[in-house]
Amino acid sequence: MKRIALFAAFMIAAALPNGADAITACKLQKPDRDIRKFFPESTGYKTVVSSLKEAGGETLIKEFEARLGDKLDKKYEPADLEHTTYVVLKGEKPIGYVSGVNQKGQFGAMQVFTALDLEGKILKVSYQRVVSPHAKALKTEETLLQFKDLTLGDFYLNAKKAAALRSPNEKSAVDFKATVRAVRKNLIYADFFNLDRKYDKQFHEIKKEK
Amino acid sequence: MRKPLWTLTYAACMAAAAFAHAEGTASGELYLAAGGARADNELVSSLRAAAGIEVVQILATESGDWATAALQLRYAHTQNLAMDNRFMQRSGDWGAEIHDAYINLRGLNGRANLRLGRFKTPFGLNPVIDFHRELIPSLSMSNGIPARRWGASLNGQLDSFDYEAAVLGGNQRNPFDKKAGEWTASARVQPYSDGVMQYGVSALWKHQNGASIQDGEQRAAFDLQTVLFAFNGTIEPRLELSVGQRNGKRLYAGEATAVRPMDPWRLTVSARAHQDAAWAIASLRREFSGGPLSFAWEAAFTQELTDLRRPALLMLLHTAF
Repeated sequence: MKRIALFAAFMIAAALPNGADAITACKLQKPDRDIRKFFPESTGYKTVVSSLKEAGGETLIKEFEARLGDKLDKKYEPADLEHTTYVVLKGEKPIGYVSGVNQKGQFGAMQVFTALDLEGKILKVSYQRVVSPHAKALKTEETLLQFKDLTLGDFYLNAKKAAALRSPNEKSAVDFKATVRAVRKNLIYADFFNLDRKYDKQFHEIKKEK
Repeated sequence: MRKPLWTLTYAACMAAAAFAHAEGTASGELYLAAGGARADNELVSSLRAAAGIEVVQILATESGDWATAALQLRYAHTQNLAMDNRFMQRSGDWGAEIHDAYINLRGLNGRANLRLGRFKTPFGLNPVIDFHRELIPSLSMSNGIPARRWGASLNGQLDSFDYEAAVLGGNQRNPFDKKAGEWTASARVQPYSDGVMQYGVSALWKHQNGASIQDGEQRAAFDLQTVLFAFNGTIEPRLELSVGQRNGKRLYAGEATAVRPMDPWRLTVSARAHQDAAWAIASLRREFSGGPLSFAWEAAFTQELTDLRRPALLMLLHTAF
């Protein structure tokens, strides 16, 4: 009984509120089917788990925030949150990447996934979770096709294509803005972890101009 | 084979997998649940304390992921067990519990996978919702359906639906116990949906050795989950219904639940019933994290509607790291 009492005391002390609300890592719930939908020619995929904190600590987190142009939300985007990338394979040859992020939307957490080719160009964007009364408008092909062929470089240089992204209607503007932020986050993760910082050159160019 | 030997064997396999090319997660947990209920004009208490680990490893070669291995263990002290507001008598000993211990081998690019080991029975919402860190178990668990058993299943994600069909042994602890006397076949199908509404249909057939085919137990179930927008937020309704028979006696069970996330709290109200009783349940939960730890508090009040002398109060503290 004494052991139980000690255990209980420890649990109560540990559970005193002292931090942000918990959020779980963003992984595909049905990876087998979803990867086949993104890449019908794929024969498999390799799951790679990383986190900003483990990969580079505070320095990498600051670099990430500079490229995002915004601070990471401690609740939805904590630095130690695991980030999952699916390296899509045809035989043993990589043919693309799929990854997703959590994003705070107007009505709660969203989960936005992007499929990229090996150069970091967007092939497709999709929602795994979007809790919004405007979800139907956000999920239309017309809305999501706007992202096709964009790269992280387009976001850094604010080129015509990235600047032309439009919400399907006024009511869904907050959630669409959140979606754009989520796509940009996915692209930065891919640039850091898969593309050997291919788009850092554009980032430094725009930084110099400013 | 004895239970500790199984645990060690599986732990050794997991360790070997960790040294091979593997990605995955490992976490630990501390779990403390306490409850009190009125039963036959007496107050009965329950206490459950546990420390556990959970390891999920994805095994891969150059041509991709080929298996997922999972191990979920708890070392628990249980003094009476709270199930709804009926408390089952248990002695207050510490003991090891195996929750999940399986390997799921990918086949046909995820269309036909083979799962071996101890895993959730594919029936109703049991395999869909993770109740491991929650206070109130699923309806299936409290209605005579084994939550987990040793066995094998064929499962997969096809373009238009997910499926899992399993054959499970009758002994909770030893998968090769021929004297266990029963085995269960169970299957669940969930059509593909890219919207917020998801539903599934399940069937279960429990067979007792030596009994005729008509004896034993057969059940069919329907489950549904969705999200509605109301009162400046969301409400997440869940529904689970099952019908069947056991040794000629009609069985039915149903549960309707509504979850209201109220950042940072979560309120759940539900009504459940089966052939012998009905309950109303309300619970309040708060989850938060601090550094590498995450915490959950949950308090639940349950009232048996068919016997108003049986109210119960349950509380949970859960820490994961």
